[in-house]
Parts: sequence; structure tokens; C-alpha cells
Amino acid sequence: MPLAEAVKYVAAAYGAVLVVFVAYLIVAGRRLARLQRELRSLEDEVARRRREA
Amino acid sequence: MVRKDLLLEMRTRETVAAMFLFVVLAMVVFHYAFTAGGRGAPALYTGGMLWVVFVFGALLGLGRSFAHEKDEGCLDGLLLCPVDRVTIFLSKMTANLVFLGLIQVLAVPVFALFFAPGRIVAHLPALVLLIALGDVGISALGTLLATIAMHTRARDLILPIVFLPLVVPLLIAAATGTSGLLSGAPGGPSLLGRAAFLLVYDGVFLVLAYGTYDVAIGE
Amino acid sequence: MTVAARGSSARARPATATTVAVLAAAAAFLLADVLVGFLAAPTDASTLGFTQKIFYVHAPIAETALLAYAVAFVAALLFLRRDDPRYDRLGLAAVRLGLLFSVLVMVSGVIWGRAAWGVWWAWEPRLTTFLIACLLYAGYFVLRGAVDDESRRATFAALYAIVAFVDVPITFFATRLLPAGLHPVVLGPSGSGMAWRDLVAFLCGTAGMTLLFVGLLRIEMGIEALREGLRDLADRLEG
Repeated sequence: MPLAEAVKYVAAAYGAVLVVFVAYLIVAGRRLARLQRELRSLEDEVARRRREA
Repeated sequence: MVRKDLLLEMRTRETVAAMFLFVVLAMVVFHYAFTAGGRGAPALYTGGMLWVVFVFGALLGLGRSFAHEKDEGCLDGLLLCPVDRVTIFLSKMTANLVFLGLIQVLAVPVFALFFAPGRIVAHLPALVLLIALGDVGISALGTLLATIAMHTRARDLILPIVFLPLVVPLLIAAATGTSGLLSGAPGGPSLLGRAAFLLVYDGVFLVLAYGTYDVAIGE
Repeated sequence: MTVAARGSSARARPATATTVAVLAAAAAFLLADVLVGFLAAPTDASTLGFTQKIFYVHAPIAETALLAYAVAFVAALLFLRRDDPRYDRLGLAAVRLGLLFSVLVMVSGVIWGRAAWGVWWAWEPRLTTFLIACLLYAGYFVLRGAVDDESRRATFAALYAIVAFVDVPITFFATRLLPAGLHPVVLGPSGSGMAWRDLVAFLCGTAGMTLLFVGLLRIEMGIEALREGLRDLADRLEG
């Protein structure tokens, strides 16, 4: 296989790995963000109930 | 425990009939599927086809037998028995094995009729060996997984999803072995190798199922 | 509750620092892997030629995927023995990462296969085994999702992780039973052994991917712990 073509495949392989990995990071980040939002809302709820008590 | 096996068999005679019907129907469907190109199905396909039919038939039977028990609440009664959990496993597995074997005894002649009469008769002992080894693996793994799947929500879906990937190695060995037999390829070492592989597979999963069954069946 | 959250995050800071350190080390090793592999190691002599360079990312990922499954296997055994939910979290995180790495193996393997064999897919032992592994461990999540009772979910997941892990080598050997493929070119550096520069790159890659796995594992477990803590909190507020 001519070098130019081989380079394209190698780049594609490394690139694809990177893309999938970044996609995973994004998904994980969103999971974390959702949990942090939930934490904040629970903290607000607790504060609210303390005020009422 | 043997009496319990027989009781299990009696209660689900409908299942056996249904499984047999399914197997024959599946073979008909496969015939049409594979001869769509206008020629007869090559021996390479028919061997694998037999096993696909057995595996899916077994899945149906497994699903039904456990669903039946769960719905009837038999399981709680069973657990109250002063019986070792693993004995339950063995009795269930044996029952499933017997079902499967029964289906196959009826189905193989039909298969021979549809696809390859001469070869089957010629290689019958080898075929029986492969089928027996495959059945043990399917039953051991299937019984364990069906017990787990019984406690899940979409249990008719869950059982195939967990069962099929795990049964792939067995399928490979059994199907290639059977195809080899049917296409007249030299039996000998490759057949022995596959039988040995199936033996190892059976051993591994029997031990696993046996060892973890009391956890699987729950409190 | 807020005090508790603050307290736990204070405890979490050294843990976070360790995770960052692990990930930084991982990055360093991976960089070394790529640099040595591309700059120092000679171009492969076999028909693979330059495409062999994919090996430096593909092989370490494959190893790490299997490592992840092994970790899940051990975690499952420990969970069944000790009944500690932390092992269930470890197993879940390990399987998730194992699945991620398996997908990466498939992605890089398929591209490499196209370069080396001219076809996008071949039922070649290693690719096939990883495909089955992907299906198996995807099933792990399906199973978890289908069990409503929490303690049962963890137990069944553990059982499944054990059975699945045992099945992976069996599957690999089974695929070799298949009639010989059309793809005799083995993916990897040619020659009887690896040139030492290949070896250095490969080892750096393995170390890097393993550290990456450990770092991500810590993050995943942290996320799971947070999720479970939140659920407990929410339950207590309602109850």
C-alpha cells in the first residue's frame, strides 16, 4: 500500500479512537452534571424544609 | 428428585409438542430461506441450521418451563423443601435436557428427510455424540440463565439476550462439526477436536452453574 | 446534609488529586507510546507497512479491555462473597469501561482490517471475540436494567459478569475452530519478536492505557457513589 494511503488509514484509526473516547467523556460529563444539578436541588429542598421547621 | 423430574415432564407436555412443532416449522422456513437462490441448501449451511433450530427451540422451552413455575408459584414451594439448591439445579437441568433430547429424537429424522438422508444415517453415532455434548452445554447454561431471567421484567427478551452470546462457542463447535459430517469432510481429528472442545465447554459451564446456582435461585 | 456533602468533598480532594495524577501519568505514557512508535520504531517489513503503526494504540486498548473484564470478574466474586455494594459499583464501572475499550478495539481493528485485508469486516478470531465481548457486556447493562429489586440486580449482575468473563477465552478458542480465514496476515509487528523500539512503544502504550483505565475507573466509581448517595438522600427526604 502506498505510504500516502496508509497514512490516511492510520490517521483514521487514531482519529476514530479519539472521537469515540471524547464522546464517552462528553456523556460521562453530562451524567455528572445531571447528578450535580440533582444534588443542588436536594440541598435546596433540605434548606427549605429547615426554614419551615 | 427423579420423581420430581418426571412430574416436571408431565406438567409441561404441551411444551414438548410446541417445541417440536416450532423446530419443524423453523426447518421449513430455513429451507425456503436458503434455497431462495434457486439451488438446494449446501451441506455447509444445513449443519449450522440444525443447531440454530435446536438453540432457539431450547430457548423457547427454557422460557416456558420457568415461566410456568413462576406463575404457578411452584417455586416458593420448591424452596421450602429441605432440598439442596444445587439438587434443584440438577433436576431442572436434567428435565430440560430430557425435553431437548426428546425434541431432537423427533426432529433429526425430519431434518434427514428434508435435507440429507444418506449422510445422517452414515454418520449417526458421531452426530449423536455431537448432539449429546451440545445438549449438555445448552441445558446447563440455559437452566442457570433461565433462573436468573425469571426474576427480570421482560423475561422473554432477557433470556435470549444473555443466552445467545454465551452459547456462541458451543454453536461454532457443534455446527462446524455437524456441517463437516454432512458434507462428507473427513471426520477424524477435526471431529474429535470439536467433541473435546464441547466437552471442555460443558465441563466449565456445568461447574459454574453448579457452583453459583444457590445464589441464582435466591432466597 | 450540606455539611455532610461539604465534608465528603473535603475527603474527596486527596482522592481527586490521585486521580488527576494517575491520568497525567497515563497521558505521559501514551504520548511516549506514540512518539516512540512513530519516530523511533522502523516501518514494518511485512505487507502491513506503515499501517502497522495502528498496533501501538490497538493492542494496548485490547489488553486494557480484557483487564477491565478481569477486574469486573474479581469484583463480582468479591461481591458475592462479601456482599459489599462497593464491589458492585466497581464491577459496574469496570464493565462500562471494558465495553468502551472493546468498542475502541473494534473501531481501530475494523479500520486496520480494511487497510490490511481490503475488507471492512472479517470473521477473524480476535475481532470476533471482541464483538462477542461487546454483545456480552452490553447484555450486562440490559440485565441490570431489567431487574427491579436492587439486591437482586447486583447479585445477578455479578453472576453474569463471572459467566461472561469465563466465556471470553472460550469464545476465542472456538473461533479458531472455524475453517481457516482468508486473512492470514496477523495484525502486529512482523518478525519473530518485536524490535526493541516496538516493544518500548508497546509497553508504554500498555502502561498508559492501564493507568487511563484506573483513572477512569476512579471517576466512574465516584459518579456511581454520588448517584447512589443522592438516591438515598432523596429516599430519606420522601420517607
